[in-house]
Amino acid sequence: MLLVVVSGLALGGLYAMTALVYNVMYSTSKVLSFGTGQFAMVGGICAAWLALDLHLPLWLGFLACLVSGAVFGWLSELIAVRRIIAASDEHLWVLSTLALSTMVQEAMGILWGTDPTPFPRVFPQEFAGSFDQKFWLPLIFAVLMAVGLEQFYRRSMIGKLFIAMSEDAFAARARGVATDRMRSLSYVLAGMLGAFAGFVGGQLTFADFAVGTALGLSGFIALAIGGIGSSVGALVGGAILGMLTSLTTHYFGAEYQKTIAIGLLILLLVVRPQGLFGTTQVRQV
Amino acid sequence: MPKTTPGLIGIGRRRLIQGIGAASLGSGLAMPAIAENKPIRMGWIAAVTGMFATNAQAQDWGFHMAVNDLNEKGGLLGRKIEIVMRDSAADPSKAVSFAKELVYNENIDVLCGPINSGEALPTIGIVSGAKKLQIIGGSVEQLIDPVKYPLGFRNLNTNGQWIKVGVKFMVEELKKTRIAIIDDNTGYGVLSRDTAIHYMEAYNLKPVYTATVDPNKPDVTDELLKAKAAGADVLTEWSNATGFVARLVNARGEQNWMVPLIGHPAILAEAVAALLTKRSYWEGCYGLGYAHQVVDAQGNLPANVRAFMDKHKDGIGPYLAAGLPSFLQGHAAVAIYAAGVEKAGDPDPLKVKAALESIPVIDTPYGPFSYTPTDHNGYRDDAIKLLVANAQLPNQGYPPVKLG
Repeated sequence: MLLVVVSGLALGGLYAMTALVYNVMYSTSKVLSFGTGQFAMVGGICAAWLALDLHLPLWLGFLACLVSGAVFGWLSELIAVRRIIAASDEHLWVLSTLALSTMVQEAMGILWGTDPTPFPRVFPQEFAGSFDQKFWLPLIFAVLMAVGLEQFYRRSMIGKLFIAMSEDAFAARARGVATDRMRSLSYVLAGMLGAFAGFVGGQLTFADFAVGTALGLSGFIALAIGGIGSSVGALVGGAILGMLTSLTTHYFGAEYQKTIAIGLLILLLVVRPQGLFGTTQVRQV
Repeated sequence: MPKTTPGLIGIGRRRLIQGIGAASLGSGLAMPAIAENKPIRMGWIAAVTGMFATNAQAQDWGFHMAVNDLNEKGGLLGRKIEIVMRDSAADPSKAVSFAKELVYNENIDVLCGPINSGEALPTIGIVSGAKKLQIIGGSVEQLIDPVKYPLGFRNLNTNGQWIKVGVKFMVEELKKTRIAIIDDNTGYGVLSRDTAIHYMEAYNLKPVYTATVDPNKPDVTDELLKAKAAGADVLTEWSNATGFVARLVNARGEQNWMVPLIGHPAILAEAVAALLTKRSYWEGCYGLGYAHQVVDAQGNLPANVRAFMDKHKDGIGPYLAAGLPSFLQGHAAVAIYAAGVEKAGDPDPLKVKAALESIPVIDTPYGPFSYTPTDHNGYRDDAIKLLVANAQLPNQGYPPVKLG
């Protein structure tokens, strides 16, 4: 039973990190990018390629993973978000981010191949059951990422500017904030964090061109459960979804996993649309 | 000019009539000679780019080598064979367009392919409607129906045959009755699960546990633990997603629960082994394969397989990684058609159909095929064998399974 719980929490950690990445981009652009899961895919493949194919040290693979995520994040904002949100209020970013996500996935399928390939062990360790690194790495780093982001939002100037933009981007701009640059920066940060998630979860997901879509969907559900904009919510939402996935298999059978996860999302949207830790936005009219 | 015009018209009219007569007579006499000499055109649709490219490129190579071999011997019925090839890029809509183009515009004598079920399904109505023979390379049962598609023949086993042989192996050879089925949630996985349950019913068995899982789920430990808790003494998996299969093998090894694991040929792939935490986790895994992969006591592959590989040893290198079944399946499409044409003495589709249905056994390196008027599947159950993972020999063969 311990392994079922640990496995569920590890999955939850991956989902939580993806949800946190959604939050970073949402804070400055109000965009829920469909390419969020692909940051992890690109980062994971990049690290595996350098470490296993080119036989470079893993720390170099880790750095390259972060750089690839940062570049991908920056390009996402530039190509799929900036002009779209400037030109229209009609949520056309749904299409543009989905299109970019699909293109990147297909490109990686062609370049990397469609078969998953191994991801290196981060620390030398024999498989250690519930204490294996493939379980605790995503779990621990999800918590650290949530704590780190909270500190970033509260204590750093850039983090405070992100918060300011999330509350009112027009007011922030009126006060001299370079909102375009801040938004671009938030996507660079999101890309790095997403690629980081791909690195710490790589032993679970392998280096696989198809993993981004699944992570993006699960991360979005975790975000909706926890509440958009809340780091604690992302963490709790991820943990709930991961545990639910594992426990559903344990008690009901694997075929009900998705039904129960999506059912929970619908139920929550009906009962508490803002999520467990989200806040209701009040707009003066 | 005024003088010549009437003359020309007069002469032209008479000569035109004579000319038409002569031309008709001449062409009528010449036609059979032209038909006898013109090449036999084999249409070939294979997804040599896209997600099935590795397998398809090997099949394509086997197909071309088989045609080259025939042409070296003078072709079929003394006529050279021409290949009209199209790359469907694993896209069913492209496969449909190419099938139309080949049967209606390219005037092919036979269409071989598409070589996966998803692409083949939408083409069979088109090819059948054009009254062309089709050698189909997909394993889904619904592709073959001698009543609806009388000119369609299969050049590999069905998926059901694999599962039937797999269930028989678990029950009769391994003597296991507490079977857990784990499949992915694709159409293929779900269909395979239901087929496995169907064949288990013949032994009055029901699975002790079934799990239909998203193939991209990062961890399947919970599914494995559940199967273990249900008291399973053997696992069978149905998925061709190497990542999913590897997670399953890893979870089984990490739990140190080394019950036999029987499944889709993907479980034998080196791509699965590369994803295993320890290669020893591969022990006790069996994948469905073919008699042409099983070596004899001296470690030799069957003679006809060796003969083909030896003849083409200079070019075979890049295709070995895809495995023997891939290029031998491409070869089989040509071999089956050639056997039908030779027996019929004519490439006319109806005559070739009747010939294929009347040949007792068409022996190809891929395996033996026996078609009848009511069964166009052809591949024989006894040519399907279980293979042991982690036992592949340098010549791509496997030793026979030894139990106990």
